[in-house]
Amino acid sequence: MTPSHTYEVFLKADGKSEFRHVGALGAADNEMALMLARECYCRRGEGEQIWVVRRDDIAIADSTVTEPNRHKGHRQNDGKLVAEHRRQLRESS
Amino acid sequence: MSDARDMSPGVSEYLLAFADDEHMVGSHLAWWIGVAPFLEEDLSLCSIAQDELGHAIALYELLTDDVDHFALRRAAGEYRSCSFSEVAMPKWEDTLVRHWLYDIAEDIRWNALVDSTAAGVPAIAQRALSEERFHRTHSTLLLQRSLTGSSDAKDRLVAAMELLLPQSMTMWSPVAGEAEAVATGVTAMTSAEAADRYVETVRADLDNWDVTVSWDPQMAPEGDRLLRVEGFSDFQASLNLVLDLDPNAEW
Repeated sequence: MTPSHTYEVFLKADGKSEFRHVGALGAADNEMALMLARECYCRRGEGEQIWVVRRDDIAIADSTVTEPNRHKGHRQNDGKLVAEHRRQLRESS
Repeated sequence: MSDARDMSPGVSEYLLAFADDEHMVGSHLAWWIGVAPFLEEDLSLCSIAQDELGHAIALYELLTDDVDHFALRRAAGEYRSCSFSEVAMPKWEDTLVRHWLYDIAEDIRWNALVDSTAAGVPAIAQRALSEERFHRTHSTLLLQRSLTGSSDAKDRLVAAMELLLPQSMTMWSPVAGEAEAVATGVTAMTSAEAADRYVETVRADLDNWDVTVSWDPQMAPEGDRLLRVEGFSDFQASLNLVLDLDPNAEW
């Protein structure tokens, strides 16, 4: 058989939900991948639509790209930092 | 439309032959779970096996109130499956070729039942056909790609075809009840007519894949469905392994 590629599989459950990653599989080409995805990940009707994407076609950013943004609490918008700051101001006044 | 339980023995036998074929092929396909050549096929073949077993159950339910006992514990002589569906195929290439051939035949057989006069059968046929479309896709995609792989793979598959194509004609070995099933509109097609369509479809696939096989289609011998293949009793025993642990268990 022709060489196998790794595909990532995504399912969309109903009209409003987004596509979600459900796993991966090996297949020779797109047509085989869709057919195998149907049998391996959707045999109980878990999805209404299927996407398969060759892993080689995915652009990847690793942790060297994402790490600097893990320490920017000022970008958290849940208000906790502001609330704490105001509480401290009240207590010290 | 007749009440299913009022079917004549001939019509019952006709539907039984199809149900037993589905049962045998589904059970043999399920054997591959965990041992198919790659993981995706473990799951895919087993999923297809469950569909085939579901078709068998749907037909058995027209014929009996106790499907488990009927499907698993009949005397060997009471089965009406053909030898092509009964025989064990531990070689992957044989299983793949049977999967391809059986699903071509199944498509023809279900299509002949969509306007059946037997109560319940048209709905079962429609449901089965909606699944068969994917079974055909699965077998043809996989076979087509396997044939274009190494020369060894192609040689093994062609050898399997030359071995199994003659035996596959036993699918068209009629039961005695077929004449009545045709006369009463239970099926729209005789086995001989279906066999012609089968040969035509198989040849079209082979031409499409540019595969040449040595095959001179002959009609199946009468009575194939009255005989069990060698190894049938062991296979039937394997199907009963769990049930034998507690035959009175309620599942």
